[in-house]
Amino acid sequence: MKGFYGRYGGRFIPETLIPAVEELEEAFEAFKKDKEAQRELDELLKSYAGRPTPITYAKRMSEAYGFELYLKREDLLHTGAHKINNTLGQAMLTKFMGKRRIIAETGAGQHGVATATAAALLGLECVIYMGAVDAQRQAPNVKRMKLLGAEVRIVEEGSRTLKDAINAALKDWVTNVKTTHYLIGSVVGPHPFPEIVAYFQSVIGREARAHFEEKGFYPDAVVACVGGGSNAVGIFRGFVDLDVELIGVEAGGTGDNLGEHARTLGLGKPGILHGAFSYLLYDENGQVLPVHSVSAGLDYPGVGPEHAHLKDTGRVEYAYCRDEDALFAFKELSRLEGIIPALESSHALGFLLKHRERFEGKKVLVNLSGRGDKDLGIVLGGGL
Amino acid sequence: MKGLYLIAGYPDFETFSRAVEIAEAAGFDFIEVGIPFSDPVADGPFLTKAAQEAIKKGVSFERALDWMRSYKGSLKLYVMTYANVLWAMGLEKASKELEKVGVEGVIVADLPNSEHGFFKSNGFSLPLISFATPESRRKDIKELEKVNEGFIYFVSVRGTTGGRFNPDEETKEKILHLKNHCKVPVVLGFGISTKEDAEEALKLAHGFVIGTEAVRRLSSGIKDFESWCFEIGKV
Ligand SMILES: Cc1ncc(COP(=O)(O)O)c(C=O)c1O
Repeated sequence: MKGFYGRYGGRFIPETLIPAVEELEEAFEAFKKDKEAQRELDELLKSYAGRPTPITYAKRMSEAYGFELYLKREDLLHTGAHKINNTLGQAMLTKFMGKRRIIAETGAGQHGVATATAAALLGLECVIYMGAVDAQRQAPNVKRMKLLGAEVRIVEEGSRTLKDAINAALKDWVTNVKTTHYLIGSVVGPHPFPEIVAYFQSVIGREARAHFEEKGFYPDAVVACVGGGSNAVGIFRGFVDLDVELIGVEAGGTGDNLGEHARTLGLGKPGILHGAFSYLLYDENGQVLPVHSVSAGLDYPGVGPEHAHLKDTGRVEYAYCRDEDALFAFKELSRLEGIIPALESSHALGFLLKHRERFEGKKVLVNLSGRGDKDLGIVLGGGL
Repeated sequence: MKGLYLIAGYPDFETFSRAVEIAEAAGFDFIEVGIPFSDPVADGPFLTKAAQEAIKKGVSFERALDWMRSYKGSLKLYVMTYANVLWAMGLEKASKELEKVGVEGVIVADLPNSEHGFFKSNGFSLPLISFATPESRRKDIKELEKVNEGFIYFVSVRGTTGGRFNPDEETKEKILHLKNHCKVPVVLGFGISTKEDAEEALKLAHGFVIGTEAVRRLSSGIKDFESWCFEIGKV
């Protein structure tokens, strides 16, 4: 069915937004066929964002842990995470539709920074919604967004994290839909957002695959962290048709009890939130449950519908990494490779380190979705 | 068709029941029984907060159902909620239970007309109320003209609940067109709060429903609610 991945997806949004998502769908279809627009985006990705990103063989870490670790270096992109792949694309779509204002939610602040950046570059008005808890724990990114000319609106409702920032952005969108594009930051939300974001992020997988094809081999496994799931879908799409293990790593938080984790795919069940039917953490009355992760970008009770489908079909394995294992990996990669990873990406690494026996002698590609400068406060506060 | 939206069990079940009795005495025709959801993206700050308080006090689908089962008055009952609240009950089961307690139809704030099929194919058989909005296009309006159950809920403002009722000319034309071409009544909602709004709404459509203002009055005391209710009920 159109707009669904298997049984997941759809458009569960107020009726007022339906014409806007249909307009977006049309613009996206036109954009994909427009050679000139494609060329322009490619040029921005290259000369502005810094694509293609390299793949680094992590020699010392590999030696220390007994596997062959390859890192897809999205942390080297302008603004420091994969988020810019999507924001440049969607900011171009915004102009395509003749809209002048963009709004976005942000958790870790990386998507907010990448959106503010694209808005500055293309001359668009920009408002970013961020939960109060996240604004505090990712404070450097709040300053960056402001410097880039965005207005940052702090959200005090609910759990004051990513989920609530999305609620606030949806409410803004319903109100200002005529002039505004909602630049969603992950493969979540109503159709066509999951597909648009996946399309713009799949450059990660395309580049990675080409790299390995040139080398004459493929990795045995590809590992990525999953918040909403955009960096994971982005890299998985490059390998999904190959005999390569795909592993998505969710935030295990401090444990499996209520409110201690954000293991949507691992411990949730199908439900409806933020425009899509997908896996969700909710109670017997349908109320969304509190979640926890040390990483603001993974601290979310929902997940993109494509992941729900990939889970059910068994093509992707969804695992988890606890806070402490992610913090350990954060420090290990810094110490052994001179690369400070984002706490989000540290979950993919932490999973690998925790399960080193399973990957012994194997070639593993990890999507290093972002850099960790923004996280120094949290990590050093916890005692390095 | 004059209606009030009230959150089930808010501020408590006793006050809520009393409010429904007052609404009937004041001349209202129907109640939208709100079943609160944790993440109500169509609601403004006031109803969002009220919903969260209600959830904290234990209001749920089951509790709302219990209340409706025991309801002895003569107002028509509709349920207004969000998709996941019904999904969590099981759509087929939710639909059957609501039907048993006499619910006429269900308004799901995050279920646009184009996803009614998703609910229906999963066993939801009660009428799902269709929405019209200021953004409705010609093709949407053509579809709405075919609707033959419940009513058309015209969301009269772009935005969340609790905004101002001030439809522009184009929106007024859409409302009047639907009023003249639909098989079912057209009811205006969102932003209506005063007697003047209600009068204006009745000139444009067959009915109106008041949400935020009703809940606000109720939360500030049953006396205030009562006098306001009778004033609107006379319209
Ligand atoms: C560096 C980084 N990686 C991953 C994520 C999680 O998002 P997604 O699962 O969409 O890739 C974020 C989100 O803020 C992020 O900043």
